[in-house]
Amino acid sequence: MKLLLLEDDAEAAEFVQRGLTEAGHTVDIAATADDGLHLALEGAHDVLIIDRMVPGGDGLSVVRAVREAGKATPVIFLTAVAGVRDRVEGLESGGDDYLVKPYAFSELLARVQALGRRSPTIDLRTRLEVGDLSLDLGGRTARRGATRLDLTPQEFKLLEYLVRHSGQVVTRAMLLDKIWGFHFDPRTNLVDAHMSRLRSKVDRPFSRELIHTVRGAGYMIDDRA
Amino acid sequence: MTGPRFLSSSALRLAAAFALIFALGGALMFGAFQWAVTGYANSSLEDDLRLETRLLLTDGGASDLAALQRRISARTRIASPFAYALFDATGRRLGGQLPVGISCDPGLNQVSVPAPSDDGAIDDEPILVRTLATSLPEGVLVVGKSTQAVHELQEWMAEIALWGAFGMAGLAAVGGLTAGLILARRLDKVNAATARVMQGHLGDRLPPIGLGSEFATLRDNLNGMLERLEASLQAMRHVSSDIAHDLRTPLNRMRQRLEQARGHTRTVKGLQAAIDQALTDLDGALDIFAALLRIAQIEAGTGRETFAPVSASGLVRRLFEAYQPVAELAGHTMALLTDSDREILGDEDLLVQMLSNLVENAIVHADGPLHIILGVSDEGTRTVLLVTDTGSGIPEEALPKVTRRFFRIDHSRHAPGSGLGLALVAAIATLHDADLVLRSSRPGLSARIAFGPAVVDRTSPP
Repeated sequence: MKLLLLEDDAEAAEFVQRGLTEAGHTVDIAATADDGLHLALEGAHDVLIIDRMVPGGDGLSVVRAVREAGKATPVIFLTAVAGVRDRVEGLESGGDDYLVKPYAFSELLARVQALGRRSPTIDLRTRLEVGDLSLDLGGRTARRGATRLDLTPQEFKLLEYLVRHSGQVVTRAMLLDKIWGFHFDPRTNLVDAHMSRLRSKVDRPFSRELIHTVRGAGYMIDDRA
Repeated sequence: MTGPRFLSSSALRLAAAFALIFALGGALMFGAFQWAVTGYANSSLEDDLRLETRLLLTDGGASDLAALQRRISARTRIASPFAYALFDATGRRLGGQLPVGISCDPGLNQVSVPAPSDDGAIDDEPILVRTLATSLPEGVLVVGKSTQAVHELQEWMAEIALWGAFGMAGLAAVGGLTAGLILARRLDKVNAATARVMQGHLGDRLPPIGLGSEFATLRDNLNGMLERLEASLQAMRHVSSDIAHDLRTPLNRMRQRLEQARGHTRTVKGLQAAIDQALTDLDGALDIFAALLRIAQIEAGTGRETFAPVSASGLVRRLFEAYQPVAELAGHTMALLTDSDREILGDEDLLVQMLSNLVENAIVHADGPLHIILGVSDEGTRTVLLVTDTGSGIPEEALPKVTRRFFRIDHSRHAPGSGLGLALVAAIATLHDADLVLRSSRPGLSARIAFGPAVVDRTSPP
């Protein structure tokens, strides 16, 4: 993917650039709000990674300007501004995700990949499949092969999110945010507990496991050998 | 007060405004007075003319011109204030000194005559004489009287009006200046007190201003504001010392670990393990830091401006669905109690975090299988959120302290957590004007958060 990073701290920018490049992406770097806006409007990026506090303005105003120019490029805010209202403000200004510094690089990578892969138009699919697992989005039912899985609505939601991002790492923080709407770090293994239940229904009765734990990062659903 | 400051002071402006208002008021009052008195004088002059005419014409005077003429002569001799003129039917003057050219039309008229002066010379300004002409069967009688007295009265009153207005304006200016100076002196005291506060004497309060209840209210409000500010600053100082103490602990541990790894660890695996441990310590420190910031922000009232109605039962159901598998995995049971269809006015994210902290406290500090109840119920006008467990609870004497930052009960010192969970719960409850009550329910702990009736159009401080 082609990414734009708006970040004024050169060392942090280089660190992120190196990591993303190693993951196979190309990264443009801008250090000021003006440069960032210019590059965002000129270049065809797949994801914009925007720091909130940069010289020459707030990252929020850059994103607003990008949206006003009619560009729907996904945006993730990467920021030390983490007040009670700041996350909502970031999303209201046109951001798609909000990651607070300091963060683990794996978290950023997972979120950037999730955003970049998002289909740009409205997803009209009514059926999702991974291997022999199929989800009927209209009827909210799931099957593995011919066996119908008995899932609670919440389990279905969790499985759907995993399947929509199949082949990608989904972090615990992403799941907390998207499935439970928790914007804080719980002290209990909340995600793991739910995932364990889900696995007991989706994977355990079958010979082939689809949900994988990615050490130090999160989970992934994949039909790999 | 120094010169230039005095010129721009409210005392001077007040004095000038008072003076102007009183000068205008005085002028208006004296003007009206003069108008009324002049009117009265004129009408009494006309009455005099009618009375004199009637006196002359009584007892046959009206029909006997010769007798009338004699009467006029007699009255002229005794220096009556009136002047007369008598004409026969042909218009020939029979007597009287009123000058030629007076109107013989019946009724009131006026004529100007040269003013007689003391030295016999003719004065520049003629005198207006008011006349009353009366038709007789065989002639016309005209009686006149000078209006000079009225004019003199008018002039005299104009003078009084002028001096009166000046005097009132002067007095008003003095009064305004005095009032202004008294006010300025009181305010100087207040300014001196605020200057001391600004210099860092945060415990200082404003002296009584005096001058009435509105100033007492102003002083009370300002002192209340200072009290609030002092409390916030003190809270801030507490946070600073808390951070110094509790944040250094994990950072110090991390430093030692890294130092030891640098000096003694020889294998790559060992170094990686040390780095991983250090990252864990660092994350712990960052969590404490984030929690402290959040508590401070919530205590400062952030978030109140975006309060919205939140379904109470929806809220506890959400939390139940999130935590029931966690509790079950840890060997506990969990029950949901939704006995309310009310809404709470609040910030849903913060309310979720508050309940989550309480549920997690129960799970994390459990020393055996628990039964946890998460619920909501209506109690009168109040909506009560409830989290109870059957764990070991909190000792009675520690209950009042558990919502302080970094407070930990001895036996849970080894349990995970920073001692900030309940402090955050208390801060969120306070932000929502809700009452948090923690109670040992033998066994276990019950936490009740009682919310007042949701009033959607509530005004919140900016």
